[in-house]
Amino acid sequence: MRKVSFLFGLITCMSFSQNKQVLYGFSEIPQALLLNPGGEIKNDWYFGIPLLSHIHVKAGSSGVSVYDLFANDGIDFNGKLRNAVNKMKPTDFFTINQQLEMFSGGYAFGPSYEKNQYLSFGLYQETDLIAYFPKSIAVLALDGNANNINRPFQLNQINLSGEVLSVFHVGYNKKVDKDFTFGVRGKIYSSIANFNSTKNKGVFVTRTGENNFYNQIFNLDLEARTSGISSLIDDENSNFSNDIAALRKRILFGPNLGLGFDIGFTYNLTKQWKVDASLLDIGFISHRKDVKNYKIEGEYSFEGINPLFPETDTGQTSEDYWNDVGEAFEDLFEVKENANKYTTWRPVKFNASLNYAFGKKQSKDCNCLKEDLSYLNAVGMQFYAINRPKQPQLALTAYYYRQLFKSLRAKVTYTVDSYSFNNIGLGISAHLGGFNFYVLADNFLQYKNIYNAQSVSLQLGFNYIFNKNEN
Amino acid sequence: MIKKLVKHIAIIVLFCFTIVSCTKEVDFDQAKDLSLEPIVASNLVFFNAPATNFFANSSELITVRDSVIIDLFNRDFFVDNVVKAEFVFETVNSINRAFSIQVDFLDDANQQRHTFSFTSLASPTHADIITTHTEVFENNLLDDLKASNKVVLTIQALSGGSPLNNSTPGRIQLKSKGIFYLTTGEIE
Repeated sequence: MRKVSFLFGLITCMSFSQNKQVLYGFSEIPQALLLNPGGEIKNDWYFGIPLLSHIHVKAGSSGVSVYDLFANDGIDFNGKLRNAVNKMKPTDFFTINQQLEMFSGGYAFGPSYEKNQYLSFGLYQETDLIAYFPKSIAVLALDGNANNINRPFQLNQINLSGEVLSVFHVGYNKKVDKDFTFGVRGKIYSSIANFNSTKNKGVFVTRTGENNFYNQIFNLDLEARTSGISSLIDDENSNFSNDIAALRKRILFGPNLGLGFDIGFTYNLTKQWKVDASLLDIGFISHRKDVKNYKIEGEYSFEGINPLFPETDTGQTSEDYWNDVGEAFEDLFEVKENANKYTTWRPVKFNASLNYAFGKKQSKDCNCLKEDLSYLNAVGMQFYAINRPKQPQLALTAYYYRQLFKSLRAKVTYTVDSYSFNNIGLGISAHLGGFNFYVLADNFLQYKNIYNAQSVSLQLGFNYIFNKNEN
Repeated sequence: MIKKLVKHIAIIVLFCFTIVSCTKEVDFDQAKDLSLEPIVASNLVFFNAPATNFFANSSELITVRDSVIIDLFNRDFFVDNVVKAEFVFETVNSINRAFSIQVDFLDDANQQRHTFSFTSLASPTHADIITTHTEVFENNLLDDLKASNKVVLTIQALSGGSPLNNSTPGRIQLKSKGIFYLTTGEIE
């Protein structure tokens, strides 16, 4: 029973954020190599059409959908908001992830009879935001403390982080023998802007008091760290285009840099069975310049003020006493700023899959199977995990892949995540001569009312691919 | 080649149509209706005084008074969002002497905007006698509260009962809290 509840807990934690389950393993699309540097490679060389080779957006909310709150159904908005707050847990979150590839390319090299090595490179920009739902703060804002005596309002529920960065990467892939391929990718991160507030502690609670009705306890330990933001806010000019220019400069080797790498492999168990796995974004960014951190730290227990018979220290007037109370509150809520450098770790992602290929193409000339043709179908299971501030988020996907015509490949996925057990994804990749276009999206069952989807994801892009063994 | 291109583009366009898909009607303007109505409770003043506190320089201290500058009630957030306030007082008296508690609200110009008082009953047997008083601020009275920035608290020993000296038994305790009803956003 405990195992069952654990499994259920695991499944409810499952999520989608940054998961590109349709793209993973879709080896006709060159960008699949970014999800597993040790993936199979099916081209001799390629280049991405600049700024159009990979456009990815993903937004999600694990607790409520847009439709839950904003449906035009005549129900009072505040009632819907209250229902949403009651329904959501502090582990629910909102997230946005966006990527835009500036350029990318790759080419195979090695002995001319068998080019078994592949070098790929590129530069992409990424935005990643996650904000957990601070339930206790929402309840405090909705209800106040008067009817919540003795209820602690936990400040550690304030947990959010976000970053905009650019990533320059070079990857190396080697097919060691016919069964084993591995790859690594080195990355240089250039942080454009970063903020995070993930280590908050403390509590606000109103308890029944001794000397007065209540004992109001403030225990605050809040911190927010930012880099690359204060210079934009504090600068004298209000001209937005100057800020844009400043941001653009940071895309290539800005002031706050980091290093990281990806690793991965593919192993053919048999001709038809295949396993692969990858670890992505094992890396850090060191924030040294343009850093501004904010801290509120203090503890105070407030019983009210005692102006008539203050229990004062010797010689203290009641005026002094009153000033002390005022100062205590000012100290408590004083925001201290510093410029201490800090390091952030990129969210590490893990992918793994088990695949089975079947159904070779029938040759038209004779009623036999052509030996060198690859399989037309594949099915498999994929597992995905990402490390997040509160807890890792997981997803499990089953898929079916099919080569439809010589030039069209499609993949259908079914993913289990924290909101739904019915996330259907679909992707196609079209190849016309050297020209490749792909579009991938998920949560198709929700598309009859997109506002009711708790997450939506879309990737598309254009490449020019030179394939080996064109047939 | 061209034919093929057209065919593929047609498939892709079809695919994109399924992506664009339907939406049911939503109304983001509803966010303008957002209105929070929290009820905030806070301690106000308190004291806990033995009877002997009312004896100084060999005579009864009939009146003890102090004023407190409170710039809370006329702050913008308070003025804009508080729609009702209640001040709740509770005294516990075990002195054989009745006391009057008076609270005055004064504005910037030291003009009195509001005053109220209540009596904490004497306790001839020195048992705890509990007296409560609730002052509700609504409408004009709430405006008077929002105009005030100074509160004068006066405790006065009433005549009758035991004399107050440095051996009078008992004590008087005052607790008080404010209950503030807030409405942010839409106020009809």
